[in-house]
Amino acid sequence: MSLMNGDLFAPYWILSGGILVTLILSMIRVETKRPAQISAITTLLFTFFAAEGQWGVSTTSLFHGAIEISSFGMMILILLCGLGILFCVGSSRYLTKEGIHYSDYYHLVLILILGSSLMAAAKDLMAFFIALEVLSIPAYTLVGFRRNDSRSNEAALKYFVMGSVLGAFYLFGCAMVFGATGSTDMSAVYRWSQQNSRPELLFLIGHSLLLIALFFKVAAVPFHFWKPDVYEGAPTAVTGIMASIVTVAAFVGVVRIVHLVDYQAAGWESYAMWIKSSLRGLAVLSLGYGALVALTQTNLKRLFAYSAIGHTGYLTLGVLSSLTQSQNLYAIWVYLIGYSLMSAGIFILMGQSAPQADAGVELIDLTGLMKRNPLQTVVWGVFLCSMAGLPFTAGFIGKYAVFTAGIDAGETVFVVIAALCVVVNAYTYLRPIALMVMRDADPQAAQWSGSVASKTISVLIALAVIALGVLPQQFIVQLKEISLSH
Amino acid sequence: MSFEIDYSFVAFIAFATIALLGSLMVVFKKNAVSAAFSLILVLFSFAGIYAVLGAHFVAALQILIYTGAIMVLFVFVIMLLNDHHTENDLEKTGFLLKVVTSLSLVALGTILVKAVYSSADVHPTGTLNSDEIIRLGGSVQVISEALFKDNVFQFELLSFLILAAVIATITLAKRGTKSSKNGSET
Repeated sequence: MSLMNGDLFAPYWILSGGILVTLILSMIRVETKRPAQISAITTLLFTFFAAEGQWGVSTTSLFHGAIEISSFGMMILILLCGLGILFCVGSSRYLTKEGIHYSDYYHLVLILILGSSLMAAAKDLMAFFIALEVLSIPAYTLVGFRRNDSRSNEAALKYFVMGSVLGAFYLFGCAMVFGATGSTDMSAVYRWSQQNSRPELLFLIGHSLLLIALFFKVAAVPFHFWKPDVYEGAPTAVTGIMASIVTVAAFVGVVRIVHLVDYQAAGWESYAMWIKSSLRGLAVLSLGYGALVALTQTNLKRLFAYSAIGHTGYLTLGVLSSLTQSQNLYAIWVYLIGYSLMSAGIFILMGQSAPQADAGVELIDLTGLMKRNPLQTVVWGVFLCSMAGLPFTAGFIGKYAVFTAGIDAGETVFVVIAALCVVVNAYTYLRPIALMVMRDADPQAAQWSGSVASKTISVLIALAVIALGVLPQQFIVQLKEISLSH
Repeated sequence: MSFEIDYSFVAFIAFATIALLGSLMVVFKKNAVSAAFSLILVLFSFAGIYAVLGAHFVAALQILIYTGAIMVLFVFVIMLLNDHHTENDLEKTGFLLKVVTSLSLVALGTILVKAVYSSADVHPTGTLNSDEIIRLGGSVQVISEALFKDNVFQFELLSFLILAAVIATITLAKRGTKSSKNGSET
């Protein structure tokens, strides 16, 4: 263990240095946003390759145990940089159309990615919290990016207030965990749980508060109410960032906090049971609520917000099965990678619709798209099929992985419930396809057009979604090698 | 026969009571300025609690930063906004919501009290007791060691948090209602 190891920390150095360079470059000429965009994309590309070069690195702890460099952290960094590049390339036309194409967008996206990736690397509850805030503040701002739109303002304020409350929950929980274990270092808390066979009430309350804070962030059902409004109010490109980058970061946080203690340690059986039953409750509520409410939505952003709540349910099922056997964690990563890719694709695609002032894309805008714009229809079709979990798509592989992990862990009843929700969800996702293919264009339906960049990006994501669905073997083998260190 | 009075306990009770009453006043005062001044009371009694615990440097910082700087900002903002809207929203709240809120507060309070009782036999495993702090050269020394050595990563990461906050503020505040249609302003 050393204080600083320049080589190992390189991806994060590049990313944080790139943020400063982007800030300075965007000041050269205020009128054009190109320097900021190009600098942001370059930064993300360099970080991407630096992180890829460290794939398979042995887990090393840096800065007195505040963070660690591991394959897990690198995987998250690679994924987030990839998603970031997609958004930086694919959303400039959309932002220009909305009159909100500012350099700040790129700065905030870069800082958001820095916060998210450091959250995955953090091994100390305080470093984790600061990384969570570094992720949250750009997210609040991006949601309120359409400053003159009252819905955007409302969404940003709502998200900000919810986020601050959950920050207070987190810190309160942190204080209690510190009181019980005497450390905020996650490894020390883990060792404490192995040595101390009696879970204290203080620790239980602290851990629960931490979990509540993180489940707010992923919007599992009792804590979901902010999500539809925030998704609807945010600019479409930002909704995509929320659905992909923020979801990945939040679920990484959930996994980290859930695995704060050793559930196999002696004396922790009843505690494990308690955590498992809470997770079961959250999973079933999110699955059912997400599936049923999404059925009735006509606004596409709200539809995908409720569908995101359903996907939170599947992912919670993955977290649940990882409690019994920690090698089941791979299912969460498979699901998250597929889900974040298709969410990014869907919202970049949605940004190509024409309604002015971003009134929100309704189902009616999709009618007759097959005749008007076959390419976009096919890409929509791929993403929707993947969301529904049809075979040969990334969505299918994700659901397959989560369900197998659930059966391995003996959660058969919950896998059956989840499978029923897949059937309900299928209607939600296949109805837009039917509208696109079988109906004639409604006179009020929006025109669809997009820049070459955003079209290329959405086609590339669609190809990636299919590639993951057709040839998942190598990919799953790689992900199975990743384990959380304690 | 002599009475042993544990003064630190008395002081703790006094400061804790003031802090609690002050926080209630922050919530229930209708006037924004008096709410802000109640908050000063709360933050000041926190400083008192820190002092009772032996963290004198933190107590001094608490008064300087919170009671001094941050509260001035609060009052300044209240002055700038000059909000005459002093109506109490509590009266509009439905009866059911009040009952549910009160019940959940009682439940939360019970849990907390139980937690505090059961924590009596918990001993933090940290090494820094007051003798140790004096041996290491006083609070300032110990705090700077902790801040710039053990927690240097967290400290540096905070600068990115502040950077994010600065960009966020500029993004949200600078853009006027005028001429921002074509996005030519930054």
